[in-house]
Amino acid sequence: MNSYLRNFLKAVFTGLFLGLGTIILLAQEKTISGVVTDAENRETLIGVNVTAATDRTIGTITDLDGNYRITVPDTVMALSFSFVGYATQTIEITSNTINVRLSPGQELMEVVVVGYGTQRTREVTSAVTSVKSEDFNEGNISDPIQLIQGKVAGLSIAKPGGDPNADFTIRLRGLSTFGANTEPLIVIDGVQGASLNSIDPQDIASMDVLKDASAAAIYGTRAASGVILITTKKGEIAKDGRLSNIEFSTSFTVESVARKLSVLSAEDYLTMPNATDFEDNTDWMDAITRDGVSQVYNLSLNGASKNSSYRVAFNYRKGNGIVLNTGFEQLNGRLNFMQKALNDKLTLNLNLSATLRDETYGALEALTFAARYNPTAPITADDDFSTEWGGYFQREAFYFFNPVAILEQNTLDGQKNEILGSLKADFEPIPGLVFSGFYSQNWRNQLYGQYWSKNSYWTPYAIGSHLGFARKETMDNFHQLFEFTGTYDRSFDKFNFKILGGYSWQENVFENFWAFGKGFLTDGFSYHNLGSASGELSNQEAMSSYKSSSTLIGFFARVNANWNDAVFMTANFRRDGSSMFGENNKWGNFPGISAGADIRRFVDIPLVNRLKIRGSYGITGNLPPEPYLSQLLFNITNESFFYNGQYIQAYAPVRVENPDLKWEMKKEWGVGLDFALWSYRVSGSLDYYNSLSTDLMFYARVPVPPYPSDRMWLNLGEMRNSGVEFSVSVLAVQQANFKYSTDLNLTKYFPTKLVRITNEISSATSLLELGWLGAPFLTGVRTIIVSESNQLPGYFNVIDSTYYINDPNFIGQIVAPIYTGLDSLGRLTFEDVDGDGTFNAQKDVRVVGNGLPKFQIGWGNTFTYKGAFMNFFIRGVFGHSLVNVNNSRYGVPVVMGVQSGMEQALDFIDATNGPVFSDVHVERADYVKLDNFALGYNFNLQDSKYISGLKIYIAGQNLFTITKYSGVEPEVRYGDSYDNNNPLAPGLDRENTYFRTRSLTVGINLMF
Amino acid sequence: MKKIFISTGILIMVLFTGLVQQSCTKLDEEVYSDYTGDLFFQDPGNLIYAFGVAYTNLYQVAGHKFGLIGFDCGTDITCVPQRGGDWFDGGEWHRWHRHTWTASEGYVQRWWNVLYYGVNTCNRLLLQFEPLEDVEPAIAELRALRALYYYWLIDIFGNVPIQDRFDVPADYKPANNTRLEVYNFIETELLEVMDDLSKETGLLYYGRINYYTAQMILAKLYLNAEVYTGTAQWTKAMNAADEIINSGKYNLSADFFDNFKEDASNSPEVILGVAFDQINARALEIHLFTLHYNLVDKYGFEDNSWNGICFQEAFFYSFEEDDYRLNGLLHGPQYDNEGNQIEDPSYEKFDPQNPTKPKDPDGPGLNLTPDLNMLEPNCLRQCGARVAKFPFIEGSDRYTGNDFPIFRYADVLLMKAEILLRTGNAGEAATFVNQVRSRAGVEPFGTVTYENLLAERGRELYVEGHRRSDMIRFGTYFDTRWEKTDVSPDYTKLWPIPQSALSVNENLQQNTGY
Repeated sequence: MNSYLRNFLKAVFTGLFLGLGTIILLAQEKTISGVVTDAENRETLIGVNVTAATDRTIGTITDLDGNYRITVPDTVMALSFSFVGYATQTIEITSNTINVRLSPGQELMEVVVVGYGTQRTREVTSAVTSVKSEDFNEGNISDPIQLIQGKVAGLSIAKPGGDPNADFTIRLRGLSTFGANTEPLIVIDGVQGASLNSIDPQDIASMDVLKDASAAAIYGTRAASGVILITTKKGEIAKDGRLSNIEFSTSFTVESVARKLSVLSAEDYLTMPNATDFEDNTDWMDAITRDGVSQVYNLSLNGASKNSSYRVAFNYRKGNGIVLNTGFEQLNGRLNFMQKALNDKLTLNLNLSATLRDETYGALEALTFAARYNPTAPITADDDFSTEWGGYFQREAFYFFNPVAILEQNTLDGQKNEILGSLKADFEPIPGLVFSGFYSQNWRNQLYGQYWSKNSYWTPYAIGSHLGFARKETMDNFHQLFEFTGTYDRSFDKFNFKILGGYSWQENVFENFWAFGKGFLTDGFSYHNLGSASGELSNQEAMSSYKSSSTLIGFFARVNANWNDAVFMTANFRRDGSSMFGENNKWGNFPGISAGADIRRFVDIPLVNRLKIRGSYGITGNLPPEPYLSQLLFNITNESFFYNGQYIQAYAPVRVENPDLKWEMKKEWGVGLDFALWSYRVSGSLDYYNSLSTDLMFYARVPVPPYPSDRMWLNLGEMRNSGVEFSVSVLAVQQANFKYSTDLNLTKYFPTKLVRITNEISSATSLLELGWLGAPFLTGVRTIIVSESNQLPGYFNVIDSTYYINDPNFIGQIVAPIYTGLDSLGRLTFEDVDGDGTFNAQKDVRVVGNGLPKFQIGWGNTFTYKGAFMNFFIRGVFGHSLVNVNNSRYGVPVVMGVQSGMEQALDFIDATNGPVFSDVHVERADYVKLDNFALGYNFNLQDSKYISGLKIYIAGQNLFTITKYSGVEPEVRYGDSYDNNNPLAPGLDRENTYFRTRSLTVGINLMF
Repeated sequence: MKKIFISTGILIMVLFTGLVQQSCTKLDEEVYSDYTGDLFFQDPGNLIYAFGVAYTNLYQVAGHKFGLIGFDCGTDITCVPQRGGDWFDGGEWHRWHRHTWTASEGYVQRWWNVLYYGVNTCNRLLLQFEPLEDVEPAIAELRALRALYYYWLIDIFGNVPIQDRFDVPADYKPANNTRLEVYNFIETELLEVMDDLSKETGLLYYGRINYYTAQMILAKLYLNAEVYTGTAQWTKAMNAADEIINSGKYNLSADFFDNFKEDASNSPEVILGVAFDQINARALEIHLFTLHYNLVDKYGFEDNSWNGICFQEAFFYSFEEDDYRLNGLLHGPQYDNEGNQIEDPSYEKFDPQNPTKPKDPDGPGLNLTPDLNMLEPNCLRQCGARVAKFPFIEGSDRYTGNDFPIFRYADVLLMKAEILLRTGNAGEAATFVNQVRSRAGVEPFGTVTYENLLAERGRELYVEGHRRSDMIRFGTYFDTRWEKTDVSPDYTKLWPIPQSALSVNENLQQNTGY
């Protein structure tokens, strides 16, 4: 980011912040009162929100008799009356008494975004959850997806550890693919496949989650993992006849380490038989961490008139991670503009956003080395060897590198720039008929730089080399989307129809370039003088450039029908074609249908306001993970051919091609129930879903011979998934001054079952062994199995243990030998599961856990008393286990030498051999967290002439976690981070886990 | 104002409609950074670039720790002991040493895949070259190279499928052939192409198969014919060896280690070399695999070493003291470049809690003792002589750049001696063995026996991947020896077909006994 720009913005924001609060002046005001009743049964309504129409911070609620009394500034021209389950009404202030009748469930009910349009909540017949901005999580939020973490049943959002630059893993309704994209399709204001980085959390108005296949089918081949639709905030009519609303908010956050690795202290380490005493005392966990400070500034202007609106926002955030040399700085700007024309027949929408983000990563390998570094070693030293390596304490030993040196000596950073622009034109020639054209372009650029110092003893390229290594890389994604849709909305008496038809064309282009050099005269060049590299490299090692492109074309249609707001039906259809599919399978069809009926409209049930039952069925798809998998392509291989004294390049097929490659298919059915009770004070829904994914793409084993290499992309998998989701919102207390509401959502995940992973090309048995622990010490040790067959190879003797169901079809089954104690020689002994008289670490194993969760809970609570508010959100995930890889490697004294290890070694102080992976290293990782906590005050500033709203708050994140798991982070690991996040190998807590953090935020929001 | 909006609206509609018509359903995949398969072979100039892959696979055969360089594990020459926590690796190395391997071992799977990658690459190139002109020598060379891959397949796995075509249906699953069928296939192939192979030697054929390499493969095949087929073929073996010897094109190099140095292409002894290179051919990892952790700085390596493979005690002591080849076994106290003994801070100390646990007898000073206290679990970290046959190259990183001789002339001389001995001509045999011994600076043998000939083959050819088939041929492979208390069953003469191959091909039968 340009540093002038940065400084300028800092100055502006700081100025604004300091200048505030001093200008609160008195103004004229008036008082209005009245009674609010139900339009149908004339009963008075308790707890109705009465606010100034233009400023929701000035308000009250109706009392036990439905009466209200509100004092507003003279400039307020209208009052707004809102109540859950009733249509909001805005009424002009014409006298001092205004009595209002609210109609339950009528036209202006809440809407949800469903893709290519919206639907009223009461009409929705599939599982869709909408979260509005007022219900978003608060506190130190830097990734938009955090806003709804825990809020949506069936949606899990996880990030192990507090790395500020790591992405969240998003998983909707469990796993439905293992070779393709496991994350939901993100749609931002209609732009499909947009990146969450292109949007600042402050600019989001709502997030809608299309959970089931019947709704998601409108997005065809990209919807199998669900769809999340994000709608940004739009301009609103400014209050008091001003031109614009201005909002400013800022917050400061301090983040600290919540949990570190349980490594041996210096004192404990010295009790190890092979300890080497360097006569100092360093807590390496402390040495590589710090408190991280973050700041956020947001400024937005918006306004609207009868036929136009705009909103402009600037957002700046800067965050330091708790590990040395990690952090980011981000500037984001957004413009949303709407203009009507042709006597309001034409509506033009223009959205533009730009994000500039700088990231510093730190060499996170340091975390891995810190787990083993000798606690008696000092951080710096002046002996010859240490001096040679920059004055950091270093010794020549296997896998023994000073972690502080790694973080401080080397540079790893990146810049991510993103521009997203879209233009939409809606033309309505006759009422109800709308033609729309939509075009968007998204450019994402990433630029990475790495420099490994000449004095860095360890580098990923060499150890002890004094060369210096530099690398620079750019990646560009260009995405273009063009869509043309037509909708027709017509009512006949009690029938209402809505028809949608459309065409979609999109193109993705990816370009990549990097260069690498080694051997630099000075560290001063960093990665800015690659041409001066003196070290010899092959061209392949020194540089690379690459380009790919793909096209996706879709035709789609939808029919919505509504009879008397009582019976509803939605049918979707999409036909998608992709250039990534093989020559023989270019086009796929994706239908979806759902229907529902509100029983309450037919039968009068006491206390019940709504009881809608619904059912759905749909087919969605998934694209191949990358282009060109279906084609025979040649490229150079890593090693060159020695020919007549020279090395010449060798070209070979890039992969075994598959011209039959096609989309994955997920067929899902579901039933659901939406309910509302006690005048809409209790509302919620219950859903059951069951999906079968077929033709799953997998880099499957094929026979060698006849195939030249043993893997190939095939559509051969089948997987079954099901679950139950329940959510309920309760407006528990609704008094004039005090309100309490609570939201609870529960998700039960049934085990994900692998049905098939073979076909006629790749057949016979189908056991997959995954989660290989690897070097050091544990080469050839796998931790996870999954099989399509109930009959495992004879040597597997997995027998039911007390808790876990013994079924090899379940994805994520962790298998391990069962530790039985030490023998007289101090050797670790294990159960001879197959009873053949000898223990074999590969064969004598049982299922000891599963990496995927069984149950998830989110529980939010909001209290308000006059202007004060408090809310907290508790989240729990249960049933998953984790392999504590650090313990499995470094949990016995035998591995200690110069290197230290984990506290677990104290429990095995008498062991004379090892390490052997066993059930000792697999732990249940159930947890309950206080995810968010916020306490604040909304000041009533109706008297002020200059400031219309002021909110101050403190918020905490991750304040406590209850778990029995002994590692740093009990969060679910949805994929193996050492195996491309392979989703078939969940449950491995690898050594590179960033520490868990907790944070405390102080913030202020101002409205002008 | 209104007019502007009208015309803008109309313009947008027109533009959109135009776009729809233009590329409405076009889904061609455009390739930018690869060479599409159908175009690659249209340019004859590309052939040499396609050809190389059949050979570059030999880097994987030879250089990896599971490859030829580590293939004497399981014999009486090398082993990878478990040193405390290091090198347990789920017991795979113990099982290799004791012949109790399973069909799931990484090394079993790797050998199968690497060898068949070679076979299938040759098959693919044969198919792609077939329609082209002037490619007969290339086709002969590819068929001979394929026969070499099959030579290792018959030796290690025995009853393997003979796959000699690339154009098979997608769901084709070959069944096993018998070891005899594979034997006949290799013999026939080599004899058929023999006359088309070049008799040129030197740089152009260093690392490639010429007439003499093909004779060498034949000689090896015939030498082991009794093991492979039950019928000995000493005469045929003799003829093949004589073809090489009598050609006069190969000689023993003056210095034994000239065959293993950074560039061995000028050694007159190498029949088929693998030219590893730190830049262009990165696969040889013996320097890291064998050296103790604290020797890295001394040799100027830019990576950590692994302290893995070392020589068995009995093999070390089988050398006479003045045997020049003993220099390939790094042992004894180790000194840095200033002459100070190197210290190993993580040497095994006395453990009061486990008084029976072995401790290093001479403290932190690095001393690579030829004696090994045990195979597992607490072999001392400084135990065992290390593989220094491939002279260490300063500046080596993850990979090193020595050349590796797959076949060399010394082996031909020893084979010739063996055939003479087996055909009742022990006297003449001695002259051939003694050529090799004389270069090593040791006294000539008076009489050649099976025992001293096998031992001599070990001292000459250690860590070149010949020992397993030698010991099987001499019948000593299955015997008990150091840290191998059981006589291994006869079926262990073949490795199991890997589980990963069986699991995707139901037509494939496991070898007997597994």
